[in-house]
Amino acid sequence: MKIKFLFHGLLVIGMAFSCKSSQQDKEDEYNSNVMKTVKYPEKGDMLLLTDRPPQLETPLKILRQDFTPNEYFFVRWHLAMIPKVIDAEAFRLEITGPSVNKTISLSLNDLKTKFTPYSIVALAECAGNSRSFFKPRVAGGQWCNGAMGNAKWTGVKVKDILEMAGIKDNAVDVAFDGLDEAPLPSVPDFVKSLGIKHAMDGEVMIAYQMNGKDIPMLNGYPLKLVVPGWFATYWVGALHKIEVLDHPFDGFWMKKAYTIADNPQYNENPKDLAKKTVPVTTLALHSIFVEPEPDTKMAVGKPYDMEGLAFDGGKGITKVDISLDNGSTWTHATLDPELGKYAWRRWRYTWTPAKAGKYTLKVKATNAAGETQAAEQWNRSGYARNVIEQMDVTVN
Amino acid sequence: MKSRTYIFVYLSAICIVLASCAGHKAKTEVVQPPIEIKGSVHTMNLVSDEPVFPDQPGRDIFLSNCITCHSTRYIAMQPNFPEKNWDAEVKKMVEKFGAPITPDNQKIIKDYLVKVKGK
Repeated sequence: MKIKFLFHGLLVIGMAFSCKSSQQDKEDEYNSNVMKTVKYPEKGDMLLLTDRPPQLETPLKILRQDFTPNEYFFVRWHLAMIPKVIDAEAFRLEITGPSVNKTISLSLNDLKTKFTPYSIVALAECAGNSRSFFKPRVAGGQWCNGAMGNAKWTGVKVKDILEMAGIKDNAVDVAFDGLDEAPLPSVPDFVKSLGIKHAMDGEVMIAYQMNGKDIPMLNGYPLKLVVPGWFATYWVGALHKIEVLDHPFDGFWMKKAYTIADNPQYNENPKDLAKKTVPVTTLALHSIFVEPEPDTKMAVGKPYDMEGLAFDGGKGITKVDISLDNGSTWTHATLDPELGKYAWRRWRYTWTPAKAGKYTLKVKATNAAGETQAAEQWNRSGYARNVIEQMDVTVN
Repeated sequence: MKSRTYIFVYLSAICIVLASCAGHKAKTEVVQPPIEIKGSVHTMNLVSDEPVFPDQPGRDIFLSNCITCHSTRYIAMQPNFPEKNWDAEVKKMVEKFGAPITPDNQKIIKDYLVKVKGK
């Protein structure tokens, strides 16, 4: 156990520098791309992308756990003025707008006592997860694979809350607003929307707990919107206002930000950008390596336990294939039991290399609809990565 | 009024940090203070930790326009980009995110970024 723990410790150190080149190491912090290891409130050691507003990445080794501990769950805020003071007793969630019968205001206690609690296991993945792997590189949060986490969310169905307020027949969209604010009046407030049918589907929920505990402040205490199968950009943190609208919501964070090329692979050419873009919505089908990590050294004749994660927007992962020869031949990995329709699914494959050399390993997932991953993909914002990933290893 | 106060607070905080951090190198592990809980009130205090950018022409305009909304670390974490990418990024901040930056200053900021994070 101690040896294993030490090994994990070394992996953390390795991870912190996995997104940079050795040249950058010598330069100053402003130009280093080094991801520092930092400790933020209610968090374990995380990788720092940015400090204001905070963006923290989950170290890869944490993804070996089926449920991402709250202390290691990734952090992503958009606006500099994140909520830093929350009075749990004074806090109210307001449900209002032209298409509710009456405006209601709910305390945390109301949410915990006046509704039937609902729990769901779901993966939250940032739309820009794995962005740093796009070639050519694109601007934005330079995430590796740790802008995602799987958790059990407990709270109240949005449907139940909206029914308490009473929904008029003319309802079109539902807008969700968090307590974070823009530092300038010209910068748009962070508000996301869902169609009324989606909001009322009985799965979209407002969580007051993740993994059986209060949500950390950096993850949106006291309430977080959970939209199973959809990218985490919709999972509004510190949710305090729900507006039911009689018209389509046209806010900045739906119409201008988080839009992507309008084709099934979310693909476009850097020299000929897609003319039509649409809001990014459901998780793209993707699979990653968790073990090995880049540049791992393996030994001839020694079994190596590979593992990783595969996920999609809820159709369900049915198959993961591994290639040990840069995609020429493929073989099935085994799948761990499903944790839930909207959770990630772990794959495993034990490989005993027969001879020394450099190998390019690949991983490819297939879902219940028969969809599989793209061989190539690029888009200007580095969203919804779904490309077949590869890992270079050396066998001695 | 509210926004102006916030900007002032941010700029003051950043000036202090820039002054105190000058000369420090990367990889310092940062430990932020824990959440304070008094009764039902939860308070999070975050200490600023922003990389210092090089003192080259355009730096003042870059700092006074960009760091109102985000840390210099947003730029520090980006790969080195060619001029057309930095041009697009500055335009994106103005045209999409609502940053009130004059065309003259946009050019100064773009030139500064090309100088310090160019490719």
